[in-house]
Amino acid sequence: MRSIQVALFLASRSIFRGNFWIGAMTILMMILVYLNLLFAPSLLQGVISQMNSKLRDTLVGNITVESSTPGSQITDSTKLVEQIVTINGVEAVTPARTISGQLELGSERGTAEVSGIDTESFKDVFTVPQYMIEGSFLSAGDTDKIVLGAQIAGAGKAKLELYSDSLKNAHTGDKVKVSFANGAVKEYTVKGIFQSEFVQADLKTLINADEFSQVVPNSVNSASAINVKLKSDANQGNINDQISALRSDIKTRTWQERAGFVKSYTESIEVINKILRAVALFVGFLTIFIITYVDVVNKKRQIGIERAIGISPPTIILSYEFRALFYTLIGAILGAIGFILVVVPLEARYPFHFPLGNVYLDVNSNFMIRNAIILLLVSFASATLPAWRAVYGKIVDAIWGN
Amino acid sequence: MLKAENLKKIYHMGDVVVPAVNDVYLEVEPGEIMCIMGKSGSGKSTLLHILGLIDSPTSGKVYFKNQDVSKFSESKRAKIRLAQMGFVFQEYALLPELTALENVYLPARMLGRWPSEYEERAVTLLESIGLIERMHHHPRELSGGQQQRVAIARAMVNKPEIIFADEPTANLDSTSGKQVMQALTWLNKQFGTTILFVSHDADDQKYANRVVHLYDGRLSESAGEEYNA
Ligand SMILES: Nc1ncnc2c1ncn2[C@@H]1O[C@H](COP(=O)(O)OP(=O)(O)O)[C@@H](O)[C@H]1O
Ligand SMILES: [Mg+2]
Repeated sequence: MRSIQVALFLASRSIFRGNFWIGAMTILMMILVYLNLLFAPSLLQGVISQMNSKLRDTLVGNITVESSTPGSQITDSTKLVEQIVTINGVEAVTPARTISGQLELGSERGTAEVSGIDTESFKDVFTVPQYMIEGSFLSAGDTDKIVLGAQIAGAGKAKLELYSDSLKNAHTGDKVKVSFANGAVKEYTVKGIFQSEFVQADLKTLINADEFSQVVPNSVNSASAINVKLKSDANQGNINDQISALRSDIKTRTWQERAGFVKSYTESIEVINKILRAVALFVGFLTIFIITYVDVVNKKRQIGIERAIGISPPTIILSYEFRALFYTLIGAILGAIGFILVVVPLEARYPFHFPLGNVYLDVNSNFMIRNAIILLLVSFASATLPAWRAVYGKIVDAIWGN
Repeated sequence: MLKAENLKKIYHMGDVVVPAVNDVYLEVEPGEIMCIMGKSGSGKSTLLHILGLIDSPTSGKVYFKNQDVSKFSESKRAKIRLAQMGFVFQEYALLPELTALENVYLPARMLGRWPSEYEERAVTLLESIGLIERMHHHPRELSGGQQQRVAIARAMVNKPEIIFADEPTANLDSTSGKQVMQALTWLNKQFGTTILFVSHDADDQKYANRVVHLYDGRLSESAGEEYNA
């Protein structure tokens, strides 16, 4: 106890009466190290959040309901949709029938899933209508109209990931011929093109459910899938169970179960992230090690005198540890303030553009505190090593400089 | 109070063997002021460090209050140094980042005294050595003699039974040196603190009750001619 008090006393005197610039530079280094620890993981977390929300908002919703028999349709879907809508916590439900088809525009061809959607409920579940880059989205009464995802339309954007497999230059007003898998063929006018920047979503093509029933005659009151969007505070697992219990011939999947392909992207980023963090921690370790080492070398005689008059070695080591913790704590606090007040807003103003769209730094206070603690532990250890070595030498050698 | 038996300290400088302290028997009585005279290099500091438990002898024994302390662990020796011994070194040995007052009370703080207690004691000591108006100054703002007197106050703060002083006046002009020696003798009279100091200056003998002489690491009770060199 008194060791701790004396160590705090010695550390505070060394911090506040020692060289100001050494202290300032050390804190600056720790700020940079801490920012390094936060930046890459926040960016990665931003990418992951972005992927997840794009997956939910453009492709699958929270829960996808399908027939329990592979390749079959959900029958009597109208009634099922009504039942799901009444479940507490469900925000919106939209059914869709899907069939694959080949699209033709002039000499270009492309293959795509064509979905017959209920335009009103589709807008409530998915954000796709917000991503129109040309024309407009489908309305309830539209006939002979089709809306294309950018990856299938091409839309003259040669930079698109799947441009070479697209129609390359489809634009609003063009007439596209669609040959459906069931043999039906029909020509549609392109009403609009959307680009959500989520490749899987931008591969879809959409027509009205009424149109769809003309091509696939017995599609009324049936669905290939029903997508369910939940309120933000809803209990997804519980609702998932409730939906499953409605009928025995359906199965449900949450968006997490459908996120497998997103995971494979993030895992490789995570490896890079770990390497960057290790480097940042090592820089933090070296910073504290060097300033402690230089200090104990400069204060060799002083340490010898402290020991001669009876200050115990653990007290002296502790004073160096406290000093390191102080620099690191101040660095982490200033770094955290700088991160929240400067880095995050700055990145939000000039966001990084990833293939999925703009990515924003995603941090929470838990993560920031955890990293600060890790950095504090590292600096504690790195101060201990040189202090330990300096203090357990011979006192006489220390005082008389041998 | 303090007894040394058959003390030896041997340094090896490459192939050369230097017996810095050789075959020393010594007894310090409680309450006395004892002086070890000797010329430079005769082994005074080495002997003082061994007696003060800062250094260990190559062989021989040190008894402090009838306990054989030569085999004590470093942490036990540190406790004895802290609570029962005081040190004044030849070179100014104050901690530069602490004020005079903080330097003085540091050992008391380490001993676990309450702030009110150690501050009051440190202030009283600084007052008695005439440095009260300098107590918030840093060592670099004090003269050599003032620093040495602060060091004496620091040595006294835990009310030690013995103070070791290694040529405390060697780096001072004669007036300051006199003040420092008077401060030490005053402590001896006032508190009965035992004082063991070493010197190469024959003038300092007058402050001692008893003088021994060190030649090349060996003690003798009588003075030779060499030590004045
Ligand atoms: N750490 C050391 N290593 C080797 N020799 C030393 C060491 N310390 C002192 N000596 C030698 O021991 C002898 C006594 O030194 P010292 O006790 O400092 O003498 P004094 O204090 O009387 O001047 C000298 O010859 C000195 O060179
Ligand atoms: Mg000496």
